[in-house]
Amino acid sequence: MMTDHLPRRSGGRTARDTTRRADAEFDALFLAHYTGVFRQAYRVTGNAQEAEDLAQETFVRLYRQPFDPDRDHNVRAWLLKVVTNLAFNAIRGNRRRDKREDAVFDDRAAVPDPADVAVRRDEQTMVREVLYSLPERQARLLFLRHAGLSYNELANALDVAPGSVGTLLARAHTAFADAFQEAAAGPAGGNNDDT
Amino acid sequence: MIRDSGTLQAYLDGALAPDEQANVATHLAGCESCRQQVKALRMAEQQARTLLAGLEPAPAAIPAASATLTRLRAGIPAAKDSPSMAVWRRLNDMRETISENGLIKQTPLALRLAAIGALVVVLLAGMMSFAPAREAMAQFLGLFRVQQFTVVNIDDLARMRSFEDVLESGILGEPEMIRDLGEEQPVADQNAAAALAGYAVRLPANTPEGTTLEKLTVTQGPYIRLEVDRPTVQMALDMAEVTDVNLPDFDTAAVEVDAAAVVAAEYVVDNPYGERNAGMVLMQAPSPEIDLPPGIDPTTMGEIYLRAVGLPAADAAHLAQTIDWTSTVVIPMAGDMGSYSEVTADGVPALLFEAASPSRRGRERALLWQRDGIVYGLMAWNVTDSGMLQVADSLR
Repeated sequence: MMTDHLPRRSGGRTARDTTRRADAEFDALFLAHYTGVFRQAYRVTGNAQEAEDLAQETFVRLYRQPFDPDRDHNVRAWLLKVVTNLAFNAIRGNRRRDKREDAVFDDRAAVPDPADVAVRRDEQTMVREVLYSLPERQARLLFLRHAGLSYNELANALDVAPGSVGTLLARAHTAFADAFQEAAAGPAGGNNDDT
Repeated sequence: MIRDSGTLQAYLDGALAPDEQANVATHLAGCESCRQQVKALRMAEQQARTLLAGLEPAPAAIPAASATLTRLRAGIPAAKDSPSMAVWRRLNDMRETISENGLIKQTPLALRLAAIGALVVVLLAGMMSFAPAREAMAQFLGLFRVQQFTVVNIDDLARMRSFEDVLESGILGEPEMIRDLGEEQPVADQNAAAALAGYAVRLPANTPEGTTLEKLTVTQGPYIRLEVDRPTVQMALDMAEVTDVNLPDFDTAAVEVDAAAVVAAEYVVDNPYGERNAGMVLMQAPSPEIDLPPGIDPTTMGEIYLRAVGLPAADAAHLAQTIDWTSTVVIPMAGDMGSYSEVTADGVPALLFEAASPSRRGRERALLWQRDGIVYGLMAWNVTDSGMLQVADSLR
C-alpha cells in the first residue's frame, strides 16, 4: 500500500505533478500581471483595499480555469476584462449600500480607505462619479481601452463585433467629455456651485 | 462622402485594414467636414485619456505582487482565499485521478474519521472565507454524514494549518473518483428539484423584502474512495507532529463516501433601486451513509483527530469521550477564522458562523443545521442574522 502511494508522489506523471506544473504556471502569470490587474481595479473603484480583494478574486478565477495554452497569449486581456467586470459589480453594490439602510442589510462590510490623500481623492472621485454616470458598458469600454486593450480584445471583452468598436469608442469618448464638462460646470455636481 | 465617426475613430487608432486606412486618408485630404470630425474625436479621446490617467493609485498603495502571492499561497490569515483554492485543487486532483484510475467500484468498507474531520477543516475554512462559497459548501455537504455540528476552539492555529498542509501534501494518497461530481442542472421549481434529487426539497416561504430566487439547481454528488494503510496514517500524524497517540490496529482503511444530490437555491436580495448587493445560497442534501471498519473505536479515532488539529492531549482525551463520533461533525475553529454562535433555526439547534473579516462581497455568514436526515447550509453575504433565521424558519 505504502509503496503504492509514496513513489507516485515523488516520481512519474501523476495528477499532483500536473497540478504542480499548473501551479508554477499560475505563479508566473500572477507575478507578471498582478500589478496591472490591481491598478485596473483601483482605477475603477478608487479604493485600495477593495482593489486588492478584486485583484485577488480575479486570480482565483484564473486559477480555477483550466490552463489553455491557446488562451494564455491573451490572458492579460482576460484578466483585465474580469477585474473590470468584478469592479463594476462591486461599485453597484457600494452605491446601493450608500443609498439605503435596511434592517436586512449589514453595513459593517464598508471598508474605509486610509491610503488615499484627501485632495487627490476629491479629484478622482469626481472623475469616477462622471464615469459611473455613463451607461455601464460605455464606462467599462473606457476603462478597458485605457488599460491598453486592442480593438479585437475590446470586441471580445464586451462581446461585440470588432467592426463596431470604433463607433462605440467614439461615442464613449464624446459622452465622457460631455458629462465631465457638465459636472465640472453645472450645479448638479454640487461642489462647484457658484450661481 | 462623409465617413461615420466609428470609421474615423478606427482610422485614428490605426485599427482599419491597410487599404481602408489609405482610403480614409485620401478622403480626409479632400473633406473639411470629416477633418473637423476627426479633430473633435481626437480632442474627446485626449481628454478621456487625461482624466483616466488621473485615476492611478499612489505607488505606495500598490501591493507587491510577490508578497501577495506568497500570502495567497501560505494561507496565513491575511489571505483568506487560500483554503478555497485548496478545495479547488483537491477537487481537481480528484477529477484527474478518475481519468487515470477509471471507474472501479469497490464494496464500501469503512470511513476514517480523522480524514473526514480534516477535510472539514479545509472545506469549512474555504466556505467561510471566500466567495466561491457555494462550491465549497457543495463539497462540505456532499462529503460528510451529519446529524449534528460541534465546534472545537483551537488555540494552536499553526498546528491546525500544518495538519491541513499534511492533507494537502497528498501523503494519504490520491482519492479515487468512483463517480465524478455531476454537472449542475437547473430546474424550474421545488417539485422539479425534488423529482431530480430524489428527496423532499424545502424552500423558504418567507424571505427578507426584496429577495428573489435567481437560480435553482440540482447537482449529483461525487462518489469518492480513499484507501490508507496504517504506516501511511502514522506518517501523516508524524508530519503533523502528533507523536503521542496510539493508532488502533488495522491494515488498510478505506474512506468511501457516496454523496447524494445537492440542491442549491440562489437568492438575490435587492433594494428598490434594483441592483444587487446582498444574497443567499441555501443548500440541502441528505447525509451520506458511513460505516466504520470493525475493531476501530470511533472515540479513539476522534481523539487522534482532535490531537491532529491541535488540541492539547488532556483536552482531546476528555472531549473525545463527550462526542458521539458516529454522527457529529466536529469543526475546529481558530479565533482568527471567525466566530460562531449556537442558535435555533428551523426548529432545531444550529450553528451560525461569521467570517472574521469581510470579503470583497461583504460580510459573510453561514448557518448550518440538520433536520430529518437532511443537512442544510445557508450562506449569506450582507444579510443580517435575523434575515437568515427568517429564511431558515420558513422552510416548507
